Parts: sequence; structure tokens; C-alpha cells
Amino acid sequence: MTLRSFLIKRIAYTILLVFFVIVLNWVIFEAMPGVSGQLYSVLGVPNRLGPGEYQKQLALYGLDKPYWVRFYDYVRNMLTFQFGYSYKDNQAVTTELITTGRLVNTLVLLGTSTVISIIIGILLGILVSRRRGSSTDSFWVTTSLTTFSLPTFFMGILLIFLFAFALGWFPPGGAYPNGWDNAALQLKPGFLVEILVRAQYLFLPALTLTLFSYGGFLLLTRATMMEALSEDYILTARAKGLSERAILMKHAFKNASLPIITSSALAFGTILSGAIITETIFNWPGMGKWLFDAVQYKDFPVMQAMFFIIALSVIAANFISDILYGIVDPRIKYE
Amino acid sequence: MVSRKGIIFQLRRITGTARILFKNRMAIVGVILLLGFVFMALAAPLLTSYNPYETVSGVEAQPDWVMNFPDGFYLSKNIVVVSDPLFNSPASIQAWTATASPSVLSTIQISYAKGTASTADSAGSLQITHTGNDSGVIQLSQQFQFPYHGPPKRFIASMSYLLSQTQPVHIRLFVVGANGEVFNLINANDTLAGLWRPSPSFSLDSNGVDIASALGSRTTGLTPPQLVFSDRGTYYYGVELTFYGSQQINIDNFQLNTYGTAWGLMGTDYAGSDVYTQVVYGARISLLVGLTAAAIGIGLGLIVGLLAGFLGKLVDEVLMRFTDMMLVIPSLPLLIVLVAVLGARIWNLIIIIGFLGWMGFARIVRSQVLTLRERPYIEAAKASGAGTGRIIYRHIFPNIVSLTYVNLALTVPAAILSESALAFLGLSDPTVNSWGHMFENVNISGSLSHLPPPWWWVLPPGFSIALVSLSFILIGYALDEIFNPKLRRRQ
Repeated sequence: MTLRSFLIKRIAYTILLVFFVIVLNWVIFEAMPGVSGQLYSVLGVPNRLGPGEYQKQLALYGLDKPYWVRFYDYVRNMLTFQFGYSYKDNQAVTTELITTGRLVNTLVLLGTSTVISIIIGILLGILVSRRRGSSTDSFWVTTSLTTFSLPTFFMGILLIFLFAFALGWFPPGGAYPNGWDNAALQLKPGFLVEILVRAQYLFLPALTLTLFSYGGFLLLTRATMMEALSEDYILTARAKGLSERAILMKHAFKNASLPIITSSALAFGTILSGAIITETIFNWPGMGKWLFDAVQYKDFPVMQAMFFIIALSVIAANFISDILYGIVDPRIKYE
Repeated sequence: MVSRKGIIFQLRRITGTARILFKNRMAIVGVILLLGFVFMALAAPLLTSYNPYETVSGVEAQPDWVMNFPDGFYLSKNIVVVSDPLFNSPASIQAWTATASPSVLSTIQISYAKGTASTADSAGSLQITHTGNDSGVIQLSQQFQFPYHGPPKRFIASMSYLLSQTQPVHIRLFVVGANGEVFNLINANDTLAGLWRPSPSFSLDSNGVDIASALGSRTTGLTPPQLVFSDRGTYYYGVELTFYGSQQINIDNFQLNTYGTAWGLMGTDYAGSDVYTQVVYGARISLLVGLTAAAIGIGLGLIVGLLAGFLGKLVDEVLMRFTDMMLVIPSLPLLIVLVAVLGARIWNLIIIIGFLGWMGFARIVRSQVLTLRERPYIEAAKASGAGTGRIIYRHIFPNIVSLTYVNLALTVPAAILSESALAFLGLSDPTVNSWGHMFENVNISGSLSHLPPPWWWVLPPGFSIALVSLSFILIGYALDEIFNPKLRRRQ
């Protein structure tokens, strides 16, 4: 398999995945009894609305058209990011997503914690795999298993107790101080101070998310590294008298990195799940918090949009990891 | 059919596995933890005598052992002032001290009235009979100690009286404080006869408007409990009746309760319910959801994996593509939208979590089946005319059973965490008390910003979730090490 045919295959698969998510989203929100059932239960009482008004309302929600027309419209809307209007504040979902900074907020939180947890997880994993069975090994395995099984919301609340209330070092929630979003008050400080204050607000949510996700990377790196270290070519490298560093990084880690790349993309989905909860605890105005609010208000267009965008970003992460895999794996690169 | 020999073999296999399992330190910890939680779930009604949503004390009361520490100096416990408020036994009237003005001392009689009661569960009442046309005053009171340095969170007073004649009576329900101040909770004339007033179901709650207006506490900036219980010492609770002619009064449902700021092993939540009870009952939900959802997921994974692995070709391709796609979809957002659309009843949750938890196991089973089906004994079975069902049941399935145990143990914590995460986000059955639901209450009640932050309410459910998950993970890893020779340590 050449890199090109590999890429074409992955692209085709990604398109299939996007379509799958679109269909899934349609099944959940349009075909299942929940949403349209509620709509019909409001609209479908003929005595409440006159017959003419009833038809008008159906037409307004597009419910008078046959199923396949609605499906076609729906697919077109999804692909062009027309998610309709939020039930709660009657704003176009896509516009609101960008103008309120929710997209950027989530990206900042996710990006920071994903990068940090990957670095910490892989470095600790390599360190630990070298000293298998030592007390360092069991300490880190126990610690990461513990942070792994501690629920995110619990960890977040503990961090709020400790750092926000007991020590008072960091604010307990939000992405910036009150009043910053109100231009009339002119509370925003200079650029440098703004960055520092925002970093202070970012710290606790990012720490929560990092603690939630580094354990997975650590355990995975440890497992793949241990498997690689038990291979014969490591013995050969040792026999050749290579330095321990070269053995670890060049011979073991390079081979161990392939499964890490593939599962990083899957881990990204898990981190996104953690981000929803983290944003809810810390009142972080991102997409996860929006999804949470949408659930409270039964704001179905927002829920549909958030689910679609979150799924899309995981698919994108998978695609990127596929490409990386193709580049790193010599079996695909040279044929 | 499973023969006797087969059962003995399986038993030996299980005991053998258990023996190896108990050589592993982590597995022992896991099993002990798990047994503890199972005991908690099964014996919940024995471990606590309250129900999870019953108000037992003041809101956000701290655990009572905090009182032994300097931080707990100002805490107070619940006090029940009257031991028999419903006057169920004749001796109950002895608890009340009567003082009457000299003019009526001879014309007043206090007795026990059996059968005259305000409610069905009360057996009798206290009866005061006054004959003659002189006016006079009688006080009935009980002395009690308030030994705490801080006020209670809330107090509830109640008293019902029944007049027999339409003759005016002045009624004053009072508390006398440690420094001699008098607080009147009821201070009114009444002439309405033949009716229990106030209605026996009514009580004067310090959180309500009646007490606040009776005490005039609005202007002082103190809450009624702070105003009344301002100091430790001897208090009196009682009623003063002023007669203007001959009259007979029955008194029932005569109580004063204080709800303290310290309660039990783990304190109370924002509604004054016992946290310990909620934790104990929460174990039921977590184990139920975890085990059933994981069983559904593992069952589905087994079916999909067996079908894909054994039938191969198009079935395999379609099923595995579908599995891969489901694996890519992030699980929590999918769970959230599904539960939000379909409703958060407990069995809905279990089924949804179960139906989203099969993908990983299906892949493992499939790859195992792919290697198994090339084995010579499968060929032999095929050659001797065994059908697909028999080969799967007799030859492939027994080789996958160990995988099932391991993955069941590792899927349960995932299901438990999913349930608690959903409950935390408000997607839980409101009639069911789960650990995640407790966290939702912490979050929505805004108690986190209170001082002190309610650590007693947050730590127990959090550690419970973590420990239950940890116990399954420890057992799962230990099983994995047993069944997977590659992971076994060299002796």
C-alpha cells in the first residue's frame, strides 16, 4: 500500500464517517419520538390551534413535507452548518457559537490540556517502562489509575475547594472576570495583563482536564514501551553497546509510538467528554457548557449542533492521526 | 446440556482462578472493597434508619465529629425539647410545670384527657379546666438546656389547642431565653370553640414568615434561631393561657425542635437530608447501573464479535465498519443527547449506557475468534459435521469466557462513571438517589461558594464512585494478568 492509496482510503472513510454522524444525528433528533413527539404534542391538539393555524405551524417547522425531503434539507443544513435557531435566545446557533467566543474558549481549554497531558503522559510512561516493577513504577501506575477512576466532576470540585476557596490562588469559575464582556464598563486591562488574567482563569479547568487524561497516555505508553522493550532487537541494541537513551528513544519508543498515535485520536474523544463536565463545573463558557445548558432548556437545535461539531472534531482528530500514522509508519511510507 | 462432570470442571476452574486471584495483592484489595459496597447496597435499610430525602437536620449541617475540633466550636446538634409531644401517656403531663396566678389557683385543674386528640396517631391531650368567672393566668412550661455555643440552623415549634366554649382566652406560646428575654411565637386571643387550632399539621417554622413577623427579626438582621438561641444556658418553652371565665382547653401536639448545624457521620445536604443515607442508598444505583449496563454491553459485544469473527466476509466487513464508526463517536455527548431526547428514567439510562458500551469488546472477541477458528480442533469439528451454532457454543465460546470476565470487570467502572457523569449533568432519574445526583445537587444549589464549602457533602460520594470503580479495575487487571500469560510476571 502506498501512502497515496492509504490517504485516499482514509479520506473515503472519513467522508463515510461524517455521513454516519449526520444520519445518527438525524435519527436521534428527528426520527426518535422524543423531539418531534413533543412538537406534535404541542401542535397536534386541533382544538388549541385552528386547523389553518395548525397547518401553518407544521409548515413553519417543515413538518408538512414528506420524510425524504426533510432528510435532504437536513443533510444540506448540516453540511452548510445551518443549525437553525436556538430555542432559548432565538439566535442562529452557528453565529452565536462564534460571536460569543464559545468555540475559541473550548479550543483553548482542550488544546492546552491535551498537549500537556500527552507530553506528561508519554514522558512519564517512558520513564516508568524503564524501571518496571520498581517503586516509581507502582507509584505512577497507582496514581494514574486513581486519577483515571476519579470522576472529572469530583476532581474539579476538589481543586476548587483547594485552590479557589482554601488557598484563594485561582478563581473558582468563569473564563474572565465579570464585566469584561461589557464594553461600556471599560474594565478590560492591557493586552499583557489580560493574557495573564485569562491564564489564571484557565489554570484550574486545564489542570482538571489534564489530570483526567494524562493517566491514559501514561498507561498506554508504559504498556507499548514494555512490549517493545521485550523484543529481540532491543537485546541486539544492548549487545551492540548502545546507550540506554538511544535504545529507549530510537529503538523502543519509535516502535511504540504507532499505537500511541492511533489511540491518541480516540483519547481525544474521551478528553472532549471530560471537557463537557469540566466546563460545567468551572462555568467555562465553551461548547460543553452550552450543550449542558441546552439540555436544561431542551434546546434541541443547540444540542444537535453541539453533538455534530463535537463528533466532527473527533473525526478530524482521527483523520489527522491517520495521516501521522501514514507518515511515521515505514511500512506505509516506503513500498 | 451441561453434565455433572462439566459443572465440577467449571467449579474447579473458578476456584482455581480465585486461588490465583487471591495471591494478587491488588485483587484482594479490589474484592474487599467490592464486597463492602455490595454489603452497603444490600443492607442499606439496616445501615441507616432514614430515607435519602428526609429532612433530618439543618441545611448543610457539618458532621457532628467536627465539634471535637476547634472549627466546630459554634456548631450545635438537634434538640427535641418535648419527649412526648402528642401526650400519648398520662405521665406525659408531669413533664410540664404549671404556675398559676393566686386568684385562680383553686379553680383550675390540669388533667390528662384520654381520647381527645388532635390527630389519629395521638392518644390523648393535656386538659385544663377553669371554673368560675374570675380571670386568671396559668403558665405551662418545660425547662431545657441549650448547651451549644452557636445557634441552631432552624427551629420548629408546634402546639394545637381546642376550646370547649366560646369564651375568650388569650394564648401566648413563648420561649424564654438564657438571659431572660421572652420570645412570643403566638400571642393572640381566641374564642372559636370545637376546633383544633392551629391545624395539627401546621407548625411554626423559623424559616417561615410567621415566626419572623412574630419575633420582628427582620429589623435585627438576625435569623430567628440566631435571635432566640443567642446564648448557651437554660431555656424555657411553654404556653400562657389567660382565662376570662369558665373554660376548658385541650392542648396537643406541643413540641419544640431545633435543627442543628452538626449532624451524624457525614452531615446533611442543602435540603437538610442525611448525606450518609444518600451515600449508602447510592451504592444500589451505582452497582445496579454498572453491572446491568456492563452485562448488556458485554453481551452485545460478544454477539457482534462472534458473528463478525465466525461468519466473516460481508458480515464481518459491515459489522466491523459499524463498530469502528461507533468507536469514533465520542460517548458522553452521544449519551447526553440520547438521554435528553429519550428521557432520564433509570432503565432508559441503563439500556442506553449498555447499548453504547459494546464496541471495544466486540473487536477483542472478533480478533480472538479469528485466531481460534483456524485451530485444528475446529477443523475437526467441522469435518465431523458440527453446525455453526455447536462450534460457537462448544468450541469457541469456552475459549472466550475468560475474556468476558476481564472485560466485564473493566466495563463496569466505565458504566458507573457514565451514569454519575450524566447524573451530574442533571440527566438522572429524579426519583432515584445516586452519587452523581448528589454532585448535581452540590452544583445547582450553589453551596460550593458557601463558607465553609460543604466538603462533607462532596467527599463521601466522590470517594465512593472512585473506590467502586477502582475495585472493579483492580479485579479486572488481576484477572487479565491471570488469563493473559504474556502479562504474567516471571517467577
